Amino acid sequence: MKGLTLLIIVFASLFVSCKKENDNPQWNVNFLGPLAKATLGIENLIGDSSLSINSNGAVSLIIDTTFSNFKLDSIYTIPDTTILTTQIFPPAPFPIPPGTVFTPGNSNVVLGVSGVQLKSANLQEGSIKIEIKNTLQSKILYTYKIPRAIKNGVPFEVNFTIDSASITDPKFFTQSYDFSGYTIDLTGSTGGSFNTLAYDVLAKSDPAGDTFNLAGSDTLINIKTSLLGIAPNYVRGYLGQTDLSENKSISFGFGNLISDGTIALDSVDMKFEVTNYIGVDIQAYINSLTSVNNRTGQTVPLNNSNLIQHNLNINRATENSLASYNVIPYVYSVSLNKNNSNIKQIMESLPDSLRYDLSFQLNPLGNISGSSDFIYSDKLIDTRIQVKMPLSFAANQLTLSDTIDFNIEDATDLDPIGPSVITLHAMNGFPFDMNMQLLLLDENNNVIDSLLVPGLIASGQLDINNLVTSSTQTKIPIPIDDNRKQKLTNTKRIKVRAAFTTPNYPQLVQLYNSYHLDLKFIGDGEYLIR
Amino acid sequence: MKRILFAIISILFSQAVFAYKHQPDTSKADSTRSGSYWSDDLSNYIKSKVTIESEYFFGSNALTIDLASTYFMNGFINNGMKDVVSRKLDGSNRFGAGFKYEFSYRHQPDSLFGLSNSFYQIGFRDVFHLDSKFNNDVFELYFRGNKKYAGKTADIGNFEFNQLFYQQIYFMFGHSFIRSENKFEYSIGLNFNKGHKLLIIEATDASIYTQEDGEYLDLDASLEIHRNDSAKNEKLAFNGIGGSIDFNFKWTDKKNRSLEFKTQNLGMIAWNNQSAFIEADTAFKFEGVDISELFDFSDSVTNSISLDSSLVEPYLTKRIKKEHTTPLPALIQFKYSIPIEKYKTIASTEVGYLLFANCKPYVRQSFQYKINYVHSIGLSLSYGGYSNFDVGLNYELKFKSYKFKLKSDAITGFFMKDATSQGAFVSLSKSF
Repeated sequence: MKGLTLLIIVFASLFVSCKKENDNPQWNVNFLGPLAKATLGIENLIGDSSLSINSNGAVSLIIDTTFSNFKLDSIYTIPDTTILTTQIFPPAPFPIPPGTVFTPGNSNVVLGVSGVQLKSANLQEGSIKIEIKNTLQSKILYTYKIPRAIKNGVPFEVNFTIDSASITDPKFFTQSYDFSGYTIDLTGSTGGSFNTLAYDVLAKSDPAGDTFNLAGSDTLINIKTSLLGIAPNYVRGYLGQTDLSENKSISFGFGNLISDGTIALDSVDMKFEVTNYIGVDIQAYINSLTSVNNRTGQTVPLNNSNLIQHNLNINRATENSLASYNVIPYVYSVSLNKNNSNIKQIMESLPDSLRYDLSFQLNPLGNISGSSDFIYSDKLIDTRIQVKMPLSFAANQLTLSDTIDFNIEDATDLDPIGPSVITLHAMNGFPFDMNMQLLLLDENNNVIDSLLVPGLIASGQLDINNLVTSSTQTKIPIPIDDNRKQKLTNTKRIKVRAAFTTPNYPQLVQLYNSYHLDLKFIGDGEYLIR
Repeated sequence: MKRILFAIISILFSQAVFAYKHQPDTSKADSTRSGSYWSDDLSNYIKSKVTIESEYFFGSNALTIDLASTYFMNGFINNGMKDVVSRKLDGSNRFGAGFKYEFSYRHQPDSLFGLSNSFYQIGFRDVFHLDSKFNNDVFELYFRGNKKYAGKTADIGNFEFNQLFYQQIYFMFGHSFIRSENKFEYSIGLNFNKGHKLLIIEATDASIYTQEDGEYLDLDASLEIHRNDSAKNEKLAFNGIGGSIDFNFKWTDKKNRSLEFKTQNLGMIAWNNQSAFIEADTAFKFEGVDISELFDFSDSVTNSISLDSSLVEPYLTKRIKKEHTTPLPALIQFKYSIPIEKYKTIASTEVGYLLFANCKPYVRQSFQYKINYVHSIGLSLSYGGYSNFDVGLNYELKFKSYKFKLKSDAITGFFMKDATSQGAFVSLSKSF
């Protein structure tokens, strides 16, 4: 046993004799290689969905803004409606034999809408709720019918039975039925009304029951009908003379991208369009359209006598056939340019929003359609401004900026980086100098470092026509030391700022879609492998 | 950031780094064995013996003990260490390392299978083996980085890295007999192998070009990686099974001159179908992580920067799980010994080769001087193997029923930090 113990001691000492310094071996290497790259075209600066390319590659900026989207409920709404239908027996006792029929005659539910006179509607949503109270001493068989509510060619009809009851022990029936998908005629039982739904009720005492006596003033029929959540996707009738008006601000232009600088434009074309999908005539009145640059506080009202403070008569839409969902809208259009308006001045003010004050009056001439107005719930009035701006411009320190979240998940990732230089290799194929800044922001958005000092990226080489003939390379070194690593560790966001200046401002240069800027970040330094 | 900066450089070798991270703390080993199954024990009247032994070995034609031990001990490798290795690099380089420990029990009954002078032995071994062949650029790129290759191509092809971690349970039978005053001894051992960890990286043809200004890196590589089921790395994990044989034959004439042939661990491990196989045979140009979104002023959605480039992942596109069979490093050895009675010394000449292990054949000349019954010492000179020229020493002590042996076939590494090999073998046995 002593021998075995000795063996264990000797070899255990061998096994535990090696203590390691770190978790892994470590050594320094000198690296040289690309870290990151970016290729930027016009679309990166402005957004590819906003660009239009001519056949020669010249780029135009398109700003397409839709506004003033009125909702259906600003024209009419159908509130929930309840109506009570009763039949009182004459004030004399009378024996009622089995199988006796009671009917209150034709009944109407008048919808509580105002301002419009609807003749028919196709229901997208809605339900009908029927509540009955029976005090008769017989089982009663009911047939509830809305003959002019049709779905798949079949009128609405329900049948149900309510048990025998008494005055002291009444019986109740309550049931809701889906009303969606029905086409309802709202001209009432006579066909000459509007907003009115006709229904028939037929009640019959139990044919297999016994004769029972009615006391004077007994209630034969007591029905409550409720139309709930009625929402048509199409109505027809007279839609009234509702006045729709709005005074709002919307996002507009590209000023929200620009934090500084000025721009001179060659030309600007603008098209103002009102598209009427409603089967009513409309008179529009635009009191004002004003561009706003919230950064500078500059506001510029649009001037054009054919558009501003001028009645615009907009014809009604038509449809191929009733409720066909195939609307032929009427489009009212006004074109503006630098010659008939101040639209160029507006765009040079670098707006970021548009304030508008306008109104639309429906049926300005009254019911001239013979109550044949129509409206589809999802097609009303679109108001649209489309600005086309050829990117032939001059810029003076026109500054775009963006802020990106930045977080180094594990700060120790930076520890292995020794003295290094990250060099920005920029190949600029744009016809403007670019002063680019990568600003490191702390959690309070304070700038704690600027990575590109200086950050001037030289313009591409231009010919006498200000066309880029070749890209220009600029190298900007970014030294990485312990101080900068600490700042990177504390960085929560990076603000990217690029200021553009075209040569010989305000001489205009045209941008082409072949222009681009290639950026490469090349690492050159020491790295601790661990 | 770490991956961005170093992923290309270490694309071939990151797996190797991983392997080192996960090796046991005391892993220094080689599967070349310096002990012989036949010793003078069998000729004595000893019936039983228990032995515990351990061995480690590191050898290379270029990597120094200073660098290797610093690496294995997770120390800091400075430029001085690298410079020494750079001077020793000779184009086609190699290194091998290993560690094992073993417990065994041997018994010599009066007769075994009807044969007298026979024994059987059972034992357990835990073996870690590592070997590699690499050219100069691999070392320079791995330990110094790619900057010195600006405008040049680093050739990292003809690269192999093998790492095996396995356990063996073995049974051995041995017998000796005398004919015409010649003594014949032989033994046969069967090993049952349990595969624990495997990592094989082979790049037959690979290069990295660093553009002069560092604007891009071009990696062109034909690469294969095999590794064990990564979900099972614990010691008892059964990631593969296999078998191997040991065979030993020794002929001693009446003048005590002997000729011995030995083969050890000739066999394989079949790694299971959860083993990973990764293959790449393509060119890959790295120009940096695309951060165009960072400069997309038109995007109103808040961007964020990811510093994690998917650099290696898309390159190593073929990743499947499949079985893989690996041969084990196996030793073949011939040894001729003659006694020099006048000096109480046995002189031996030995040639050997470790198969499947990126090792060169070696030749060794050794002298064993028996001071008295208790003490003996030995000296060896060898050339080849993983290193080039090696000097070895050994000491043997017999005390009552104990026998202690301490041996090194590469002792210079203990005294010279610029040496390229080092090894030690220690055993302690008790006879009954």
